[in-house]
Amino acid sequence: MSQITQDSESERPQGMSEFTITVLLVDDQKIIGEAVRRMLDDQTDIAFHFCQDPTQALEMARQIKPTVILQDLVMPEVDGLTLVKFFRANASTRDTPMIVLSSKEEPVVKAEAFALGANDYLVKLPDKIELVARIRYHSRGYINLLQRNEAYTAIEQSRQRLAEQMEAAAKYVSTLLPQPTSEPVTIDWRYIPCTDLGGDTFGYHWIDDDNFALYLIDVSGHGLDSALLSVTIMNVLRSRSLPQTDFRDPGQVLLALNNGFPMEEYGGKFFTIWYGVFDLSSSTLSWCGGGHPPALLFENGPSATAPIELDSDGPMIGGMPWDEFETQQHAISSGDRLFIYSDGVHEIHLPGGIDWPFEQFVDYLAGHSDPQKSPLDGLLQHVRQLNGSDLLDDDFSIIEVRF
Amino acid sequence: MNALEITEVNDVVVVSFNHSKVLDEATIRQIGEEFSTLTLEAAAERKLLLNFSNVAFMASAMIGKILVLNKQCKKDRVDLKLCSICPNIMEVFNLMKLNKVLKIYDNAEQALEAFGPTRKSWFHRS
Repeated sequence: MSQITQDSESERPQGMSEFTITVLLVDDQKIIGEAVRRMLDDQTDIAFHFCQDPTQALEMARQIKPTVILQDLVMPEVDGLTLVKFFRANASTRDTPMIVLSSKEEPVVKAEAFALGANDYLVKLPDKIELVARIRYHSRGYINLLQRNEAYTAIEQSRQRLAEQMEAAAKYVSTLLPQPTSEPVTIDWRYIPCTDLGGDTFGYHWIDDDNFALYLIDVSGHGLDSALLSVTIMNVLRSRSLPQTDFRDPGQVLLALNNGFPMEEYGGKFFTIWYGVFDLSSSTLSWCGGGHPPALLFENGPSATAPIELDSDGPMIGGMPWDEFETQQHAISSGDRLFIYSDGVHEIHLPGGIDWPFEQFVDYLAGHSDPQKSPLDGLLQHVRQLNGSDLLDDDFSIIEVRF
Repeated sequence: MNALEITEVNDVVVVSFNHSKVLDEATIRQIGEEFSTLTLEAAAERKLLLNFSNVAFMASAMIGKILVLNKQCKKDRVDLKLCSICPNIMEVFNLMKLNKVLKIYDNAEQALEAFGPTRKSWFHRS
């Protein structure tokens, strides 16, 4: 028997409370109290408490927190079955195992006691071996329950803490994103981080009087580490701190990033990026992508037409050494619209195990080309509908630029 | 349970996946660990084929593990090929330009043929 106690002790996870087998006997007869005390005398790991006054039983139970209650059914001042009911109604003893004691075998009383919530029934006075065995059996079950409840609470608390940290990190990333603007071009965006942070960031800023940079980064994996690396890269671009790099040349920027952020030095994480520079004086957009979905350029025209996909050949950044990231260019006219986005915007798992086809995402944007009305909110709503939930699996990040 | 199933077809070490959804971090970490011994498995003939026929969904972090394996194969001069990638995942591979970096085939037959003549193949001729 003591072996069982030791085993369960040694299995107790660190930081969990230690519970002692604690018996509360409620009986009006002092002689019974004394008899049970003697039976348990040599059981050094069992704490014994005796309550002779049944009207004090609930209060005493609240204080000593028994792991099993032994209760006489026949007492002068209180009906034993009513007391069982009280123990069950009381929050501190609701789940405490109860063994009711009676002077004889009475099937009807027994059944009634079980119906009111008693766990066991013993005829007074039981044999010592049997009493100790039942006390240990019921206490062990109850202690397991208490420890399980404690573990659940601890898990819930740590889950809550993690969720709070994620939320704080998501807010922090949001504060780093630039405000929508109307100069030199009109820019609006939506950033809906997923609950475990998908590693998206983006930004835009002036490089000099003529050149305006636009970029969107998606670090592989999810979590704080992905978000932190994404913020680091955003800061590198914003502060233009890459050696010997002309930030007006997207290919040079990606090459320098690929050399500067090899995945083996950054926790096995790589990232995809689309980086563009709009030259106002020549109305030219230069861009380069690294493993990133193509930005979509809708040219200003009389009717909705398919967009030009501003794609690139370069792979994701940090994944492997790469000799050249090619800069491409396209002339921009007033009224043209550009969408830069992360894969979380179009890689949506549909019910039935297929993904939303990329062409349908492009069609959605093409079909919502009203120059007066941004499609971003409609797209987000549409994607949430396709997803079957407002909570998306990945960060949803999209920038709309109106030239 | 192992995340990977390793068999030999002629002189090619063929690796297939036991999970159809490679999404959670623990699975990806386990695959990464099992990947780390693959170049040893293929040390004799230096031919390694990753067969994705069982995989329906894959998180982007898994691509990192493939890239690490690709680097290791380059270093150990093991010929790495991939095959049977489902359209969902292939679309992601194409977007990330992995198709320009890795040798990808539609199915195992094509991939095995692309490894070239098999030294042991005369054993199987009847």
